[in-house]
Amino acid sequence: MNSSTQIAPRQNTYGVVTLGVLAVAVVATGVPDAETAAWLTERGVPAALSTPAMYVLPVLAILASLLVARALGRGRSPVVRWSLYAGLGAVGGFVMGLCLDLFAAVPNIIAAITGPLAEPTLLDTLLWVLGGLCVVLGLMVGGIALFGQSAVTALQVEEVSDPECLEVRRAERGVFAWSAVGMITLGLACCALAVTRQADETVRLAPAIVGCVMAIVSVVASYVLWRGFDEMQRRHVIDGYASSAIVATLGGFAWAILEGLGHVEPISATGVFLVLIFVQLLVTSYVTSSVMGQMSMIGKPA
Amino acid sequence: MKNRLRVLRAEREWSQADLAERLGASRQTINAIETGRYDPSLPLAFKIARLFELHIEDIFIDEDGISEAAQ
Repeated sequence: MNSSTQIAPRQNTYGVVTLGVLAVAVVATGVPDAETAAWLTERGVPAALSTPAMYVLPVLAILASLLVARALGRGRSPVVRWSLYAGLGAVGGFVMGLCLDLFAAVPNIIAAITGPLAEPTLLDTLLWVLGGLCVVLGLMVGGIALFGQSAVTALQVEEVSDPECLEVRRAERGVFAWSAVGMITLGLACCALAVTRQADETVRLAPAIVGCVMAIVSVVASYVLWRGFDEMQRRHVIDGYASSAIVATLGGFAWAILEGLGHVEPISATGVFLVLIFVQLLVTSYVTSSVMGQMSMIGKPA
Repeated sequence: MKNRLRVLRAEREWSQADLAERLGASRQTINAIETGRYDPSLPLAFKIARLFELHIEDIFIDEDGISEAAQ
């Protein structure tokens, strides 16, 4: 008898509500994007209307992307559901970035320590986005480490047919804690790298040291996680990184061809780092979700 | 590969976490084996068989072998 044919009671979860609340909290840290505001003003939209709309639209976009992905993915394979959440989530994130400059107070706080920062380049902006993403994901995983099953239920977007999927043993919390440490320190390392690139040359050493320390802590956390993994978890990591290497190598070759034809600029070390991290995050999440039964925070790679 | 792990576990009234602890594996791995998304290594399969005091083929069903034998 195949156990997967057994029908278990479905259990409601609250991921959409929790992520909606998180979206409101993130939106509250932002200020309207100047370019988008000017674009709307040029088209005759009064500021009294456009300003509140630029705060409300991102939250609606995030909620809509979650609900549409959940509806379209119902009954489909984990890979299809993951692709839907990733694709529609990216659209929601794009709307958020289009409307608001998030965490607007952060540059001022950093400027108070390091002095004024230069205008960010595209790579700097991507470093800030990646850093913020890692910190937010790390905090969510850290929430599971602290609060266990109630946090998983609060963060799980889909209703689950296997209630044991939501169970988090005390022993498992250590895995989530180290995973959170790894994600948060990686995010802080990315932010420190961005500060190093944007700060005045005379004050770059301090953020560079902070970045190196964060990167080392992140590597140590990954090593501790690896030591504690069982055979399936190690296979996930190996599959994920092997797939990442193939994607990154093919991408690097395509870039080299375009560079040879004079269509793109040579890519810097920062660019290579960013591409590798983004590819690893996407591919390892994809590989993990294709094996895990439920779309769950538990399925995220270390 | 199909298996009877969930049934055997239920007969003993063990949770996935209980079985994971007895096998020294993660609960996620037990869940993935039960739902057919992961085939365990031979050492883990033998460990499972020893725990339930059964032969491996009493727990794991080699569907390819059965269909080849039928042909």
